[in-house]
Amino acid sequence: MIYNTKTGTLPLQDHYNHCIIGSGPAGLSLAITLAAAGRRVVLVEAGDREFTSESQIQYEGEVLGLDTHALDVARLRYLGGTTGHWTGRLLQFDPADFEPHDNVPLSGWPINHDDLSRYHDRAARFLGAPPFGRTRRPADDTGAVDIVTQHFSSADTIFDLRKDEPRRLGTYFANELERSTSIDTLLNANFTGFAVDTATGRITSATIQDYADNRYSISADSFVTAMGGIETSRALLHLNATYNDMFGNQGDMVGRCFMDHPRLDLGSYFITKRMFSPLPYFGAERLIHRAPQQMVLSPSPGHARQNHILNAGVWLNFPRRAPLSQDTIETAPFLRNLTFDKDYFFSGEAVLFSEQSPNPRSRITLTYQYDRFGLAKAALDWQLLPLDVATMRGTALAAAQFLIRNGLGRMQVEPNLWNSAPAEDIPFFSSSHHIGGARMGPDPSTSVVDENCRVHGAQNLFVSGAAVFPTSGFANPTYTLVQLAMRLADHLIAQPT
Amino acid sequence: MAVLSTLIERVFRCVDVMHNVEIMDSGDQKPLNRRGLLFMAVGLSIAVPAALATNVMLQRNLLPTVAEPSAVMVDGWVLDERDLSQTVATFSGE
Ligand SMILES: Cc1cc2nc3c(=O)[nH]c(=O)nc-3n(C[C@H](O)[C@H](O)[C@H](O)COP(=O)(O)OP(=O)(O)OC[C@H]3O[C@@H](n4cnc5c(N)ncnc54)[C@H](O)[C@@H]3O)c2cc1C
Repeated sequence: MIYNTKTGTLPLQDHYNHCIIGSGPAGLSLAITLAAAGRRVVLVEAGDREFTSESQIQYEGEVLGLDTHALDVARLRYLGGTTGHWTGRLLQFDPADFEPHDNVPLSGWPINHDDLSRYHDRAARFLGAPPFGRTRRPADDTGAVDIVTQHFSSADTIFDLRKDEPRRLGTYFANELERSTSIDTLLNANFTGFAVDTATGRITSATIQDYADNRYSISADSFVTAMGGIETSRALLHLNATYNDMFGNQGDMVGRCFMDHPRLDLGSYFITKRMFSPLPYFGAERLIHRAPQQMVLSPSPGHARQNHILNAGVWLNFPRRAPLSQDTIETAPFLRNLTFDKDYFFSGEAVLFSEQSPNPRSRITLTYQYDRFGLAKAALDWQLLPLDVATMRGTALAAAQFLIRNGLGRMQVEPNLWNSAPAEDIPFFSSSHHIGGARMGPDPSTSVVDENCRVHGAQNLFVSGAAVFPTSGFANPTYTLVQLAMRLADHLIAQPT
Repeated sequence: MAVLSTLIERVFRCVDVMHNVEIMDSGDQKPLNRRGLLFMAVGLSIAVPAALATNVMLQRNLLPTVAEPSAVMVDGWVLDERDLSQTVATFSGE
């Protein structure tokens, strides 16, 4: 059932198996999986069914480091979470994303790609995509660049980002939550803190507060924070401030290694190639879709390692059967000299999304400003390292060279990136992918949660979401965080209630 | 060969028209319906074998292919340095 604190008091049960805080993809997929296994779940959501300013304003915070979206803009605080305005692109992490890199401190996951592969199909189904297995294939014989498969959170196999709606999880699952006898969903219910048995490290209850300042206490066997990357760190920082760093902060790691996917508009590209290209991909795409689908080019793991760069991809976005604009040709006289196939000519914009390395100085902290519940607001200090800039540059160059090598076309690259200008001169921006802050690892001195997403030092407190990713890959995070939520569900189901 | 090439081109154009997939200037795409797929299958069964046979000839791509691009940046574009000379015409065979 869905209960709303605005329309009545909450008929809470004395005790639940699991209390999940946050109804975005990380919380919702977990709740639904646990309920399907017969568990009694309470799903605590700070917002309403739709956007309200009363809830959203609680997301205000400070931006201290690299410029990024304001904290109350980048994410959404109501049923379904940030999927209320996401784009719905689904990519898998690569097997290599889970492995440690020699020259990247703090790299490597305590689990690997195979640990998540059993959740591939279920995660895709939950997010509204067909199952997808193989993700990379070599783009040409050199093995330097791969074409990466991307899917969308839409029932359509062909998804037009300009027109189609991705799955909005709040709207999509509202009826199921309404009918559920295993999940009590609480709306306009703000989580404000935990009660703790300090002798055992057990969380005994969660406190929630509504907008009329009524407070409720929820008792459960286990508690999961699924409030999004930034709020999860914020909640753990509050908890550790009260309980002397006993919850995952033994190594002062809570909030650290915050990562985003730096996004850089590279400029225009064009592709000009007949359909019987020696590259099967182009032939097939041309036949089936009448135009190349927007395509993701990524240096192969071997090429990336050889060139000491991280993982990244160039999206050849929205190929349009349209000539380059006259303006572009005016500024690039060489184009007049090139002879290309005017019957088959597509152009569009190239955009780069890049992995960033885990960096303890890139972090979420608490400010001295307080929200209406008396909790310190979050500050985001996003930082990049030189390796991150080298990754953007190396990837853009590999994609551009791939087009040249195969006679496919040409693309632009942001000149400051090409010229190895310092990071501050490169106009990259945030992708609003909030990753890290509660990183996963075996060692409490360098991580916050263990391989089962349990907070170090806590018996029954878990984290669901991209906050636990030790490294960021370059894939949009939601598909992987849903796989992890389903894996966490299996772990919780295996535990006695 | 030229006749074959034109023929194959025609088959594909025909398939286009029959299942009414518009190639609009915007490049918008529509999924094929069942009928479209049927026509496509017929079209493919004629065209693919012929196409494979004439693959090389149909490479009407006039941009050069370059084994080891020596990338240079010109006006924000990443080019092979040979793009800057008239040698392109040599590559294109024209
Ligand atoms: C513009 C945009 C486009 C994006 N596009 C993509 C994309 O194409 N592909 C992709 O994979 N990802 C995309 N993302 C990222 C994606 O939205 C997130 O990865 C995903 O929503 C994270 O899920 P989550 O459940 O961890 O957090 P969220 O979706 O942010 O959900 C957190 C939930 O917790 C609730 N909550 C917060 N605080 C409290 C509290 N104190 N008490 C109770 N509840 C609370 C919130 O109301 C919210 O419902 C995009 C993001 C943005 C901003």
